[in-house]
Amino acid sequence: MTQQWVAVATCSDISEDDTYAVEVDGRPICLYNVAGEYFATDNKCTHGDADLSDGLIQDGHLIECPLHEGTFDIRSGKPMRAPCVEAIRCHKVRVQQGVIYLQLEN
Amino acid sequence: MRTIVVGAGQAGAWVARTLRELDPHESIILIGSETDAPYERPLLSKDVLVGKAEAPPCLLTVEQAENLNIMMRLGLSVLAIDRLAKSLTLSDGTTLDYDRLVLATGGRPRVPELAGIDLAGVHTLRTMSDARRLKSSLRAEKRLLVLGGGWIGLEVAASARSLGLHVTLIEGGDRLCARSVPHEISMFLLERHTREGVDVQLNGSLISISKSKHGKLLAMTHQGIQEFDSIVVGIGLQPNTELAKASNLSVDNGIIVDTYGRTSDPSIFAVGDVTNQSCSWMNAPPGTRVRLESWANAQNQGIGVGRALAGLEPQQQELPWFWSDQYDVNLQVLGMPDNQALTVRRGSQHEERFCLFQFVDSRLHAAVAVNMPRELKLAKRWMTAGVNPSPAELSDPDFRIDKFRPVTAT
Repeated sequence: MTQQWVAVATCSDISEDDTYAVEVDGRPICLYNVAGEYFATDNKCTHGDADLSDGLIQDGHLIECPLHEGTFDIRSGKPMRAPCVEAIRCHKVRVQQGVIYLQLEN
Repeated sequence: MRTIVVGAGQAGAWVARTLRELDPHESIILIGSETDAPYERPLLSKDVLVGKAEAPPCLLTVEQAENLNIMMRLGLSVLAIDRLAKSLTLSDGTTLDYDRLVLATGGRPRVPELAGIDLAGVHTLRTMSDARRLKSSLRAEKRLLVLGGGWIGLEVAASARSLGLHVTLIEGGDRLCARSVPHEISMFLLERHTREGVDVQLNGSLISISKSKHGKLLAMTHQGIQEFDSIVVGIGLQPNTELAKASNLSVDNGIIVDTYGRTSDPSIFAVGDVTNQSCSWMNAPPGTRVRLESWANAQNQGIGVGRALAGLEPQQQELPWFWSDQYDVNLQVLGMPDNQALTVRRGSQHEERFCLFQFVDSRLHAAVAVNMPRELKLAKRWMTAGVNPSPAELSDPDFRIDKFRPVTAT
């Protein structure tokens, strides 16, 4: 079943190269502004109990976990640095008139 | 070629995993004295003790090892190394030949020599089985003595308080975690633990332990006899260097290794808590060596040795870094704090969200963050790039540190 598109934030909420935490259907999500393009992943790191939204964006498109310094590719969810070995789930994002919409992936 | 890794903790597991990723053909044998497959130790003193997690994260399950063609042999130890024959004698009486050997033998808790230290109810905490045993003795309303005001001691004290035990902590020195944090952080930790109801006794001592008629542990201390149900000893780690010493490798507060993790024998490497390595991170004090007992070092040095075994060059050594979780406090330490350094504060100690930044010659030297992980990661970036905001900027709450962009001088 296809999930609904849900408005989750406005573009002005997230400055460039920054993160923004939201909840969609009770699920913690991290939004990213990567050089003006918006992405979304689950917010809980797949390794430890940490919020990726507290982390920093590295090398343009990697999110670094604030606890153990593992990284994921924001665009694909692929784990890029130890200790992360399990991918982080990505969610589809689209922007209309300054509003960010998100479609949850199960 | 065959590589044998002795020690199946975090460092040993990362060596095996990394080498396998880079070299599909090497024969890899990972030998561990514990019966549990390699796991990360940090949660043992926290989530595992309080029952929030059954077990800590596993780094290499038996099934994964099989799939990766890593022969994992658990519950087995190495008794001797024959360097000339390149062969090991194992505790089951067999021998194994190696082409390259990696010593990832870690350490064991230091135990003071005092009467009664072997009594039932006196614990140390290093392994999963230590944690299981200790956990079963931690019941609400029981009285626990923690000996040692370092990280293990403080984390056990916090876990025990959250389970409703009465906790006394005896530290021999005049402040908590004196070896690794500045004075202000010791004070902060003391205040927090005291507020949580831990009876922290500084400049104290444990002289002997005996058992009462009712099965209680009677601790003879600087304050006379105090009565407990359990005692946890957390006074530091003793590196397991015996095997290396008996084989005449260079050992001085750990096995001496170079930036590749090589010991004084070119066929033997060492990794993790047991190693004494040169400091080569950005702006490290020249000529200094250090033995690091951190999760991050076990992982990163493990990856480094795996790469070296596969013939790759070492990567830039990372700044020393570790964290501790106590109550709702996440504390992170970056670099080697120095009590003489110029220190500026950012954030609010009252709200338990603050950072200390330490400067030596206007260069950022170390940082400690309490519930401010992002600031610490920024500090790591600056220190790695060798460029940082000034002390005045860092202590100015209006200065946007996340917008500071290192302009590399080179």
